[in-house]
Amino acid sequence: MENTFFVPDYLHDLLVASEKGLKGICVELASLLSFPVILTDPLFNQLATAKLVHEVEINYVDNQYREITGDKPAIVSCQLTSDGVQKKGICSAIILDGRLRGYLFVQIDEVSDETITRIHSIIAYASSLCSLELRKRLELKQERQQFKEAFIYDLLYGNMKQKDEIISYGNIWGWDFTQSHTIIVFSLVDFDYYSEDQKHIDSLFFLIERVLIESNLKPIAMKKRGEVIVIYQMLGEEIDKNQNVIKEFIQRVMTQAKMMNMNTRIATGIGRESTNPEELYKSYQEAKVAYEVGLLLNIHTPFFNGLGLERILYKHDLQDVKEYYDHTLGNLEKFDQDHGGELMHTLEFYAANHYDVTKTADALFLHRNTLRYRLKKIEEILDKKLDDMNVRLNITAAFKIKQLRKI
Amino acid sequence: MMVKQMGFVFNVDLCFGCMACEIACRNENQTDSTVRWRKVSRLTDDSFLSVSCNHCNSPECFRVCPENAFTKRGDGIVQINSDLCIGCGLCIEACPYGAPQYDPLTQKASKCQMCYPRQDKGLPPACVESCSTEALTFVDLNIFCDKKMVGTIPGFPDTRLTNPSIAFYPAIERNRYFLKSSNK
Amino acid sequence: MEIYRHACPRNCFSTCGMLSYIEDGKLMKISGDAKHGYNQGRLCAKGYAYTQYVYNPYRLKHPIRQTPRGSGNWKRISWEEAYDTIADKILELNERYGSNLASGYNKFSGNIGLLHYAVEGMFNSIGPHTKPIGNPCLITGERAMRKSFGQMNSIMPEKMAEMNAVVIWGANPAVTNVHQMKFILQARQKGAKLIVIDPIFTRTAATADIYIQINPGTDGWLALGVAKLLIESESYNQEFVHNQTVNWEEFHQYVNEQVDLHEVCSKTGISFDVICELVSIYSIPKPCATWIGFGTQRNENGGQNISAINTLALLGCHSGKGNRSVYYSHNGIDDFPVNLLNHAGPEHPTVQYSREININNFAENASKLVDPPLKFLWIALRNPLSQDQDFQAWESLMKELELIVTVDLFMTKSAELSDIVLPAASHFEEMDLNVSYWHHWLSVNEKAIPPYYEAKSDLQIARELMKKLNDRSPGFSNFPSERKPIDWIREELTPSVKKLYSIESIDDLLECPRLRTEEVTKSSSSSFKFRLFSQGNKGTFTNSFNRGKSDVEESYPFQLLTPQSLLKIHSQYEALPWLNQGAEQDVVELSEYAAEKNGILEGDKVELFNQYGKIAAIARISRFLPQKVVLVNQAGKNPINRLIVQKPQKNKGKSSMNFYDSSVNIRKWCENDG
Repeated sequence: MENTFFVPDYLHDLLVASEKGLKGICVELASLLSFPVILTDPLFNQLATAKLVHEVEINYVDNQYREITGDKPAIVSCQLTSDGVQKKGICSAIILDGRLRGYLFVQIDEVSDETITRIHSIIAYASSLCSLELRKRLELKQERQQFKEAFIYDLLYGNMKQKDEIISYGNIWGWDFTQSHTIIVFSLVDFDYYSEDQKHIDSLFFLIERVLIESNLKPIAMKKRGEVIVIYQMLGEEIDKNQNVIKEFIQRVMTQAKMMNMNTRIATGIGRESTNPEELYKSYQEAKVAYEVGLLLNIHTPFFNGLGLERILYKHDLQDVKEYYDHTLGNLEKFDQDHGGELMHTLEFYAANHYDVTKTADALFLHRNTLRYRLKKIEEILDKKLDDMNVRLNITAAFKIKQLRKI
Repeated sequence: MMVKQMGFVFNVDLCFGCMACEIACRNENQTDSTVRWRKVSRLTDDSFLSVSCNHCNSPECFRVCPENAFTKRGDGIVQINSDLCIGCGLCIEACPYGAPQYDPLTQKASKCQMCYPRQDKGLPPACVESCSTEALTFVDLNIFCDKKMVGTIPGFPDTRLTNPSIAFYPAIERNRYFLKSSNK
Repeated sequence: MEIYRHACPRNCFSTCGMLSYIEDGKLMKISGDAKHGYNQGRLCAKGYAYTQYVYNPYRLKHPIRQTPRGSGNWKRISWEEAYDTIADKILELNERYGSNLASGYNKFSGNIGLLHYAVEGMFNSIGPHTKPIGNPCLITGERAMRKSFGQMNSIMPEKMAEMNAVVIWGANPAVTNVHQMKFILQARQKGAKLIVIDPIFTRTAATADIYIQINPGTDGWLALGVAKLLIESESYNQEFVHNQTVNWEEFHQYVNEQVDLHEVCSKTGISFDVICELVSIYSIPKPCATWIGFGTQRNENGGQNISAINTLALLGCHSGKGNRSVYYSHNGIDDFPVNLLNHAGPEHPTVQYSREININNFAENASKLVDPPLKFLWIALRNPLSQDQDFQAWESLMKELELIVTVDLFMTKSAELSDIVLPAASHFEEMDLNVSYWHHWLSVNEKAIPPYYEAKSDLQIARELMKKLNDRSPGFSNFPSERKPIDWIREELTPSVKKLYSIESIDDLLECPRLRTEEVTKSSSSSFKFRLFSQGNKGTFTNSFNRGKSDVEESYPFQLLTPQSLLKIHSQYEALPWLNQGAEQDVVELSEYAAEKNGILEGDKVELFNQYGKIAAIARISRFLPQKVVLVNQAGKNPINRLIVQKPQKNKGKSSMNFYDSSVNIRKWCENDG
């Protein structure tokens, strides 16, 4: 070997300092050059500084930075303002994978061009170190983000069977799974993959996160095809109050969505509150049932808890439900078909008005006697007494089946 | 990890009911004679349907299981942990597609696992591999989409409850000329 | 896990390449061979079930013997004892009658691997004997094809994917040739039309763009009708028919004068509009595949039907290209010496030739033999008491036989009536060489696992039994017992075969199956002149189902069609649970007309009967069957062929069995007469 390879101490010191991140590089470079050093993102938001006496503002950077071609940064001059006084500076872009990721500024005041030339290469070196550091941060962020999604997915599908494990994982993102949570599903009705819907879901996700942050909650949310799922932390213990909190939250989301003209497309469903994070998957399934039933019955914010008979009817065997419906209302339906009558309509209103003759008559704009006559006719056709509680229960259930579009 | 939803795509127009998928499944998994993870059936319009577990978005099996024995992998495959299964049969009752099957030998429920050991090696599920006309394929439904694809076909159970990860291409209309003396 | 290469040896179009996965000498699973260009890595349902075939609780493990015959009183014997008994009988008969003519065999297509001609080789090696000739399955059509085209070969069936239309006459690939379907459907996806003409609304028919139901056995009428319309509209290659056919004028005149379209419609049952639809398909001057199924020739008009369809294919699509896209079957085996089949035995001082009897009337003809009568019968690769016709003739033949030996993997109906049953090896347990009668691929079949218990291949049995005979009576057989399976295979790979399949040695086949070189035939310049349909000496078609009200017609008004089912080939695979889900009882399909006429409801137990017998089955009422057709699939616990008895054929082995010329009646089952 003929050459002696000499690595200057200051390079070594810079490299070691980069262990401490961007701040470390800043401090080391500043102490090497005895000039203040500022690191910013591409929008000049400061990421780290060293040796600054006053707040510094970046005024102007030489234009050539707009055209970045390689990974090798050039050094250009720039103008800074420190304590209201304009200062000179030199600047190097931080470039990663051909994209501008930030700037490294050195405030140099009045120095000779010769000095500037001498420090060019050390600044370029520091800027390369910064870009490596930014790469690490970026990767970590992406990794964490993906990891977060996997964790939420596992929660939604009950794949994690250990409560402690869930709680400790949750802590990574500052989520407290010792508290109870509720799953809320937001879904785009008639989601169409081949349209802007994919972007709508992205916007919806973004605005939901914002609303959650505004409510001082750490967002636990995930996008799936056509839906955004929120794991909503409940702070109180009274269910009624909690329901109001959720309603308010959904209202805020809808208000914001309205500004983006999405609100009419969004429907929602809310599962039951669960104190045990292993069982959150049940709340998710409930939220989806509530969503479906809500759509069918036109319920604005359907809570699974609030669904009664519908819950059972929705899931029940279709054939059986059909038979039940025919058994209960079949004769009346047939009579209407054969005679072109409106008895089904009448009975439906009667049931919807809690079997109250006065209310029903008002709702149908009928004279009460006309209504009474029709109800008598219905009793004859069905061969049932409409004042019987059991008959009423059956009729109510049959109309619910009809509403649930099972028929 | 990317969350996927692997799902079957069934092209009704290309299936003629040869049953290769059903038996290829048995060959791969060597299931008991009474256990049918995949079933080929004839629909009323004389087309065929090949169905296994649909690895639903909202699996009922998994909601009703008292032992919490089901999991949904990150790629969407719904798995049953036979160590946890007590053979109560609730999932068998609950599934609209008849996917979980009672295995009389182990006295537990078992079902299609979309050949995840094969998928982990980069191979397609055995049923998909066996389909000579490619009537049965599988894709990541989170990213795959085709305008001609539909969510259900007549004869397939109600999909609203469980949101199954299966998509269909419907049959194309055909001309059939029966003898006048024949009944139709 | 070790992997071996195989060829499925079933009597099936596809002869699939398959791979076995072996762990500790046990077959764990099967897959298709992705290197096989025809099945392309896939198998059919039956293929995927082979683990259950190999390790089946009903599979025969040891040589067994029953006394008396038919008693079910089976006893395990050693191979030694079996060979001794058989050798004793052969030698004794030879002494008694002065030749081996009293010894014979009945063998067909249970395994179509080339080394299974060991049965013929074994009998050849003892000099003149009694042997079956002919072919129950496809020979009528083969002869018609040769007559029309001078030869058999079509372009490879994979090319169907590139056709503009595929017209299938009486074949049901969705059940019997699953792998062809992908090529057909590929063509369809590129815009080709699939047309299926069949009396049965088969699974293939259900996939067709155009399905045309036709009266059974009248395909020839339809083909001539379409040809007539093509000629009238001058949609054919005139230069071709004038220069390249021998009988254009005669045919033209025949069509003009004798083919009446009203008659075509009434015979076939197809309306004129539908016939025109077929005309429009055959008028398009683009490549069109015409596939003639074996079903069209399972009746008395078989040869004429095929000849008429061939003629239509020659005229249609302005082809003028001979038969290159007419599909019937491929004679891949003609390229090979088939040394076992053609093994020359020792000469006999007085008896010059073996005694040949038509396989289609084997039992009846064999019972009539005298000087000497047939006394010893070897049954292999066949289950005649399920798949042949005329069981009564078989039962009476068996009474006359002194020794019946059956070689099989399972206790078949025929084995049940034998004295000795020898356990046969599956194709995973033996080496073999396989060609297809449909596609153009050549495969070698490796031995992957040790034989199941004491099972042996047909070749192994031939080697050992002939050695035993020679030990007892030196020079009795000239069978080269020392020759191993691989030696026989090497002998089949002659220089011309190697050239045809571009191989150097058997090792190339172990690497992957090989495709036969497509020979370039320039039929337009070749000297061969094609033969169009001619009336023949029979006059016009006879139609056995419109033949007037005979007594038989009155008593048995339904035509019996007995095709293969999806999950079996005759009685093969009957013992596999995977393939026999809930198939406890035999099923008969009948039309709504037949059901109504006889007061039969869906699921009723019914009786199918004619003058030859009766069988019980469960009724399935089909919306799509022609009124007077009754359909029962092959095999079953009570094989349907019991009701099939055919007149003796005079043309020695030159026509297939007319299985579909059978009539039956049907009635509800009464317990007290059962």
